[in-house]
Amino acid sequence: MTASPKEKRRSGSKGDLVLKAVVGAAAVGVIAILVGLGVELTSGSWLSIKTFGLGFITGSTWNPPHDIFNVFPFILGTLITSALALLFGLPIGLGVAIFLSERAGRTRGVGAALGSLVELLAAVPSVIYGLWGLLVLVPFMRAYVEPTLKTYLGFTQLFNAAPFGLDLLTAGVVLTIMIIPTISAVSRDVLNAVPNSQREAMYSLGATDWEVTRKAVLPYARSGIFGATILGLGRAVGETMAVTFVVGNATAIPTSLISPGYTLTSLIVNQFGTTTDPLSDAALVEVGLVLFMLALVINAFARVLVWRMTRSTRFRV
Amino acid sequence: MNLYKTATSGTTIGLVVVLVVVVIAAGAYIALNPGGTTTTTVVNTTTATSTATSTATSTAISTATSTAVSTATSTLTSTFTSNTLLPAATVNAGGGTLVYPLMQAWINTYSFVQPNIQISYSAVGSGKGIAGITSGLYTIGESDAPLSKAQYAGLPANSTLLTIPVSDSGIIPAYNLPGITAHLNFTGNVLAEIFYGSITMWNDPRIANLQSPSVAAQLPTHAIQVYHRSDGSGTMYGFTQFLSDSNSTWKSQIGYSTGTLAWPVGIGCLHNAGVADCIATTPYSIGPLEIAYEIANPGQINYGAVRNAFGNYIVANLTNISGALAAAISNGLPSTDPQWTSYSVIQATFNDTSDPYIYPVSTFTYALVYQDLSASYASTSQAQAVAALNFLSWVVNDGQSKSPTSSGATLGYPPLPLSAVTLDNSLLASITYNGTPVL
Repeated sequence: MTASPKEKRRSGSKGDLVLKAVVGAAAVGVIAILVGLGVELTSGSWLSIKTFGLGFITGSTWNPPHDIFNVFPFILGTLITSALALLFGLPIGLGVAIFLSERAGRTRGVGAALGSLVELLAAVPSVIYGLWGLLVLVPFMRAYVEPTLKTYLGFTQLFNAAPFGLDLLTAGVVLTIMIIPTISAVSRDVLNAVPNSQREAMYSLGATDWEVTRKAVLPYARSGIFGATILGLGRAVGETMAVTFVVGNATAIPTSLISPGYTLTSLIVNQFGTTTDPLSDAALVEVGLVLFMLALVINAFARVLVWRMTRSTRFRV
Repeated sequence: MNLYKTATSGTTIGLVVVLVVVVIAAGAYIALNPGGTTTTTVVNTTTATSTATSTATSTAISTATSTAVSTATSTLTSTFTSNTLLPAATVNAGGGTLVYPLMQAWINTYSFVQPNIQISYSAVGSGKGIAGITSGLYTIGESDAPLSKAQYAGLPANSTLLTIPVSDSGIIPAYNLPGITAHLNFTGNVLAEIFYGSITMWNDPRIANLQSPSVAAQLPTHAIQVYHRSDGSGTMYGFTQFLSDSNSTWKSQIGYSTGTLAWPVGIGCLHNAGVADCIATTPYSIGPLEIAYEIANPGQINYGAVRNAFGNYIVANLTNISGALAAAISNGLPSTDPQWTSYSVIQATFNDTSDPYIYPVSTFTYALVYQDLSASYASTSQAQAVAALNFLSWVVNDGQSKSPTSSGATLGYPPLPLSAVTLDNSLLASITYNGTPVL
């Protein structure tokens, strides 16, 4: 074979062939798993898809004894809790990342210690967040946070309900704590990758710390930060145990942020093992399918956004 | 490439290798143990000589879930020698989670009675227990509710599945009312209206009218917070069936199920302990609890008396739950319906006035076994059939009185009434392998 200069490495080495085969198989395997999941979820839920059609997603009644399975309240619950988590988690997570990357020393002292602590948070199993949420956070929300919100903001529908602690807001707070390490760890790496020439150029123009961060560092890193946010969102959408403990698990459409709600993942964990007939089995698999599609849509949406952003700007990491 | 990066990639590769090994090992373990999530397998290969037994006993006590087993085993060791040992066999069983703690204790104790037999019970839920018996995965299925007509229709052609009650359970209306220590009185109808959301205040006249004047005067002017199970369960099945029988609106709008329900009001908490915790931490709340919680944690939670068909308000205990189930059996079941299709213990006791002191919210949990175990759909060998029936026979007879202390009482499962034991024995005697009775 006449090779181009670039391919003039030693060919025919066994190691290369093995590597090629292994990584190739792994790559194909991932695609196969994804396709297999989609096919399996669709075939498993076919009975339910046939029975309910689009009403499965738009209807709001989940009543197994009467064979009615609609999941709109659960989709709503998943979206609301994830949105709350992002709303609280993004500023905090990004703040932590900026502090670690721009203010504290990156490899020693406070910065390093805090950095590894943040990463440690990400390694705590989610059921522990759930238990902590149920035993510590719920009574706290019930006794202090939610009555206060109700008193001062109760005139908006958002906080107009009896405060019991087991609700969408509490679930959102637990999720916030769970996604902060994801967002801050990834964002920190992205910020660290911003070349110092960016900062130095800005400082040389007489900019303050804040101006450097806002105008030179963040815009440069924004597609990476966006990626970190999507990772966090993914964790929030898929989280199961911690949410099931605190979300309240009420099948009605929530009327406010301090009303009990229900998420797609909690529905699966609560219902699994107790389904009693083929239709309820299929409906539960379709809940999985909806969750799967939701994850795909969020991911695709994020890809498009990142693509548009990187196209419209010269800066990227 | 700098040194730091090389070190990092080395660590990463090491981590990945470890991870892959762990995943493969876990996969292999799961593949070799069909059944699922929580599996108890008691492996006991010792022969029943007295020395071997004493070591086996001590290990069992250290690993057993309850100290109750220790008293049971000490009485059992003396009866060992008279026991005919069956040949080695492994029996697959699985189903409801409600009966799991009791099943675990039974399996532990039974392993000293028949050391060669392994019973492997997977707590996968009633629905999966029924699915497992339908597909032939389990020789013994377990369910907190008898099969529905639709589930029977899904069974293999020409099969006869027997529904064998193995334990009892009662459901109590637990509440957290500061200042009130007396047992409040409830009727099924008032409970249904509370859980439907039509009674919203504790001092509602419909509640107050059921109480003695002094208790009625103490009822607070406060909204009721309703709790229920978020997961499907036999406990909620029994409770909502009682509400359905008591209140026509509940029956037509909500109904009953071992799956999740469309609760009109309230908050769902995970598992029996979760409901207990939700009630304990929320003043002015109410929720249905499996009585096992109260037995295991006496005095921790207040709960109400429920009016039975005779008109008495009954505070649940192990005796009056057993009594209710005895009444259910004596009311002509299951002879009118040999397969217990959609049979309701609650319904059978609902109008029963023969015993004025029965507790009306009582149910069975059931073992499910094919009547012809040699049929291909049962996927059971003769040795497995013998082992499975020997175990079940032990469970419904000796297991009721000898296993965890007397009758499982410390675990909060009332013993089967005598009429249920008689029924079970005749059902077990009717099970055949190649045409001959197994027992």
